[in-house]
Amino acid sequence: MAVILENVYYKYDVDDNTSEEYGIFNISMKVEQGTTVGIIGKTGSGKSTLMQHLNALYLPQKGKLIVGDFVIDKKSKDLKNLRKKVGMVFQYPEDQLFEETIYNDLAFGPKNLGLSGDELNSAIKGAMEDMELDFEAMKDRSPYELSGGQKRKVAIASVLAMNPEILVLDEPTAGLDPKSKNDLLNLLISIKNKRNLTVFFVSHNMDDVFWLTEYVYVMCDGRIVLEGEVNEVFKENQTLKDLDLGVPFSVEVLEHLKNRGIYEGPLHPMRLESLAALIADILRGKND
Amino acid sequence: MIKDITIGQYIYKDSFVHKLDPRTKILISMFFMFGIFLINNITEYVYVLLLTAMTIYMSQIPLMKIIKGLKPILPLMILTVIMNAFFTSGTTLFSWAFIRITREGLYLAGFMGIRIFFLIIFTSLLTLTTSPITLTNGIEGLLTPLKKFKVPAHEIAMMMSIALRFIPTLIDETDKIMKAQKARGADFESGNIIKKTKSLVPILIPLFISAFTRADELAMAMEARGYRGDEGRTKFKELKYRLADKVILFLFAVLLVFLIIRKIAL
Ligand SMILES: Nc1ncnc2c1ncn2[C@@H]1O[C@H](COP(=O)(O)OP(=O)(O)O)[C@@H](O)[C@H]1O
Ligand SMILES: [Mg+2]
Repeated sequence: MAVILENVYYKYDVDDNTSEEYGIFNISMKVEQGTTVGIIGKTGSGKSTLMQHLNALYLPQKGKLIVGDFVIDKKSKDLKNLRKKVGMVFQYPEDQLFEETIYNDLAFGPKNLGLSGDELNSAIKGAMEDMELDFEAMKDRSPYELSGGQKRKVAIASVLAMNPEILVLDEPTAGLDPKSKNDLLNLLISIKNKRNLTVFFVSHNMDDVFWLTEYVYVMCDGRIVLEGEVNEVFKENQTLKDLDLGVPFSVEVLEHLKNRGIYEGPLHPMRLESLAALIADILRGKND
Repeated sequence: MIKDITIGQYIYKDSFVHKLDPRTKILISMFFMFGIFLINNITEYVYVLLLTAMTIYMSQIPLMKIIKGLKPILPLMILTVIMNAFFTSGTTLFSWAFIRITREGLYLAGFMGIRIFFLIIFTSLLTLTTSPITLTNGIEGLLTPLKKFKVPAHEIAMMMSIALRFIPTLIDETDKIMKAQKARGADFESGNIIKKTKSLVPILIPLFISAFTRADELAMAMEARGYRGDEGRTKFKELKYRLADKVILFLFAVLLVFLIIRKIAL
């Protein structure tokens, strides 16, 4: 499903006319079906507020959203059908687990949407398999006895069990150890491809954003201040630093090399293998 | 929605009322509470109104704030008035079917309404002008003499201030969990009472779990920082009755004693 936002505004303090502080301010975006977009910005820049508009947890106070066939504005009602299409993984999603067994927790969403019987069972089974959770071994276990990384996977599976077409991931790797983090990101990439999802990926980690996404929106004070193809956006390393954001590791390394006068090329973000190859070339004296 | 809850709101101002000792404010609020039930004629309520208006003025709290604070209590007030009006026996003024309104009932209802009105205003003034921490300090101070009778004054005050400290955190947490379950298709609005109550389970369980985790962490952090309860603990701000406190307490006490004696004598 494609997603279009047209001049969307949201203010938390609606009653306070003097306040110029918006949760999000005049946001427009256009995301094609099947793309993965990154949303970056420092804490408090409005990323979560924006994401919660995508499944109408917040309704735009001005402007509108078009999500597939749904048009959402400040008067929208009957949001269940939209929420079926947009899966929302909050920050620390494991906080929302509440059932005695993993199976029941995964069943909560689909049941609310009216699924039952075989349909329900296969939705749950599919979600667990996609998250690499062993269905037979784990379905009757308590979600609370799992490790942090496993709990996170169960929580994400509980969203996938609703078979969404759009997946919103709000800092999905926050607080995970490096291995769990990498496993999760790899898993998310394969799920995205398998299910042909449109993905919104909110993150503080520029390398993850570079790795996972195709198009990036940079936010500051509720506004989109920079957007573009991932390669283009990460070339703006000064702008990003001014916004208290980092740049991918590779750009950082290239910048250091440049400062030392052993590299003259552009500061492109790149995979670590390409970066290693480039440095190897420099060392062999083939820098051109 | 849930974010609108404002329990024990405190508004900072540099006013005379704010600067009073919290114990003074708690005590005069209690005196006021008793006093208001010992009064039963309009003239004296006018004096009470003047006293209240003066206190509000001196506290520098915007009048709108106080009026808004009355709104949620309105149904309770109306209910009390109606109950009193209908269910007091005496000389009938008006009757229709099984409803009978008596002169005594009307009087009582009117006075009850007025009393609740003043009660709410005065107690909200107490929390509006006293920060939660100061308030618990005040309660601890007032309970301290009871330590001799094994009343855990310090523990009670500490529990209260921790509870107050975590109210906003819990509200944030509830908001977040509600949204997460809504995103999974949960519906908290429709259905009958039983269905609505059941729909709270997915909120309450995560909330309890996180509250227990937080409590555990906080207890550990407090222990790590050497908290051993009351013994050997000093205060950052010692409570002290100033002259103004003493004068006000004296005046209120005299007034209350006068009202009590009058009540007994009449
Ligand atoms: N529930 C809320 N009530 C009031 N203000 C909020 C709430 N949630 C977020 N805000 C404010 O809105 C702004 C954007 O917050 P948020 O969308 O959470 O940013 P981010 O996810 O980028 O950290 C911040 O200034 C924040 O303080
Ligand atoms: Mg956020």
